[in-house]
Amino acid sequence: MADKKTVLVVEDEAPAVLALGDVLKGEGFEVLTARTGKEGLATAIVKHPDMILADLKMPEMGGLEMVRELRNDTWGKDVPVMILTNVSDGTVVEEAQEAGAIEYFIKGDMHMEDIIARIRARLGMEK
Amino acid sequence: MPEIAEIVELVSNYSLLFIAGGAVVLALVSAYAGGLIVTRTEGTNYVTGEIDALAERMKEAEQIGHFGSFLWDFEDPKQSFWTPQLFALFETEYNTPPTPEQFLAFAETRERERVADAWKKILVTSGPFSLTFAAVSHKGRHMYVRVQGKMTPKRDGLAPKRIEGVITDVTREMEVDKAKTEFVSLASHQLKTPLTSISWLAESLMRGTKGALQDDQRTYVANIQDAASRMIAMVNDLLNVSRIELDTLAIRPEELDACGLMTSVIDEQKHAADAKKISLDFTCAPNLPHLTADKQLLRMIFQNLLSNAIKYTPEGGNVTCDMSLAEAGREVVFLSVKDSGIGIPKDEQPRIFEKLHRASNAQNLVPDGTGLGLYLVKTILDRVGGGISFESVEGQGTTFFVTIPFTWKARGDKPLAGV
Repeated sequence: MADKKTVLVVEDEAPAVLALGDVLKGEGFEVLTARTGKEGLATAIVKHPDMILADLKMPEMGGLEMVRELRNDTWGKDVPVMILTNVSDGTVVEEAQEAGAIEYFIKGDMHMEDIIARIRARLGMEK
Repeated sequence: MPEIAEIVELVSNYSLLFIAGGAVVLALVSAYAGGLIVTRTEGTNYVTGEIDALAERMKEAEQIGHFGSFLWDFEDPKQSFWTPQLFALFETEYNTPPTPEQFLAFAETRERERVADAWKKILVTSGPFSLTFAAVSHKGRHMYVRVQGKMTPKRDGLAPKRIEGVITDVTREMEVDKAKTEFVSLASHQLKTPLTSISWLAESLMRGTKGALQDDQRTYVANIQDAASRMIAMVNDLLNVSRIELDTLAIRPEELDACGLMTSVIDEQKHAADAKKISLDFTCAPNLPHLTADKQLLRMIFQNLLSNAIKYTPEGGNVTCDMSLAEAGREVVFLSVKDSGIGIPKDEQPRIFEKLHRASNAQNLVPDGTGLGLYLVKTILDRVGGGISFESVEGQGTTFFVTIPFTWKARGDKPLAGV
């Protein structure tokens, strides 16, 4: 389907990926997954998803570094990235904004329903 | 000045007194500081020897316990003293005991205001006190000190006649405490990852991603969701308490609709109220402006007040929330949360905002609360310029009244203060 939007989920916690992936698919999204920032970066640059959801703390490369790397790429400089993490201490929220993330969610406090509503709003897909 | 006989008696009782702790040692030191001169001039060799031994033991006790003793005598300043251990602790340049003002100047700059306020209270409150603050010695050594003492007022009961006590170096204690708080913070963060997975997997099942659930399966999964979200709320409380104690609580204001936020919190807790057949009503004044507030913190305030109201209201009761605008000129929103619950016993009412305190009837009804909720609500409201009060009658119910400022001031995370 030409208008099916693709979401890349970059997250190392397998059960969370499973849950989010299932729900996104159920909502009609194409879902790509990656377990590290490095894998996420590679997948993004090849597959050009419409939206990226990224955790912060991951092996090999964290979410912030991934966003910064993406912003150096001709295609990647504009792709919307939402941070989904359980960390909000220190200056990490401000750093994520500076790196170019468009939303910052504390995932433990969010229902997936609300995350999906934000994705739809950001992609101009209001139901 | 004490009589020699009294000193001898004190000397013989010294070991026992020392075991009894700092306050008693303090009384002894006062006696000894005055008595030493008497014995040197009038006393016998026997007493002098005992006094010397006592002085030596006091010195050792002070060194072992990292404390020193002081007296500020406002009627007869010549009587004021600092024991050598205090001069050593503050590495001071003073030859005579510093005045209270000079002493308070040892407080770290960030502590000055708080310490000055506390001292003002001490000066007008007779009896014992305790004050802990971060200080810097004359040579620049950073430490935490605790002043424990008592204020004796003049006969007319107004100004202090004397303030005496002990000052203890509690740096190590504070470091251990901070390490514990940091551990709680770290452990709480780690707990949130698996809790998120549980919560999301349950939500996925509820949405039917693995096929439609039967009624009893839905009930089970709803219970898993509910348990996970209660656990996440507890972890968030722990995290916020540790942020407050480490002084790293960030306030990130954004524009928000307080009524909408309260409505979503009510939706989340509706099933808990339904399960107890508690009616849950919310009215929101139509003229409320959007607030510039921290959404996570405001949500936490709403969640705590509402979950308490539901938790401590028996089956079939009611909980009523009302949000309205203050009178013109005051830039605050009022929220009241009224329940027909068990109420707070009169004698326990002064303590309900204390950390870890739970009213006795609350513990009987719900044994597994943390006693952190109201402490957090009050601390956060205080920090953003809001407030909370309540009216309660045991057995009839409680109403909490909250004032929420329109605009919260942003506050970034501070790096941890080095000791």
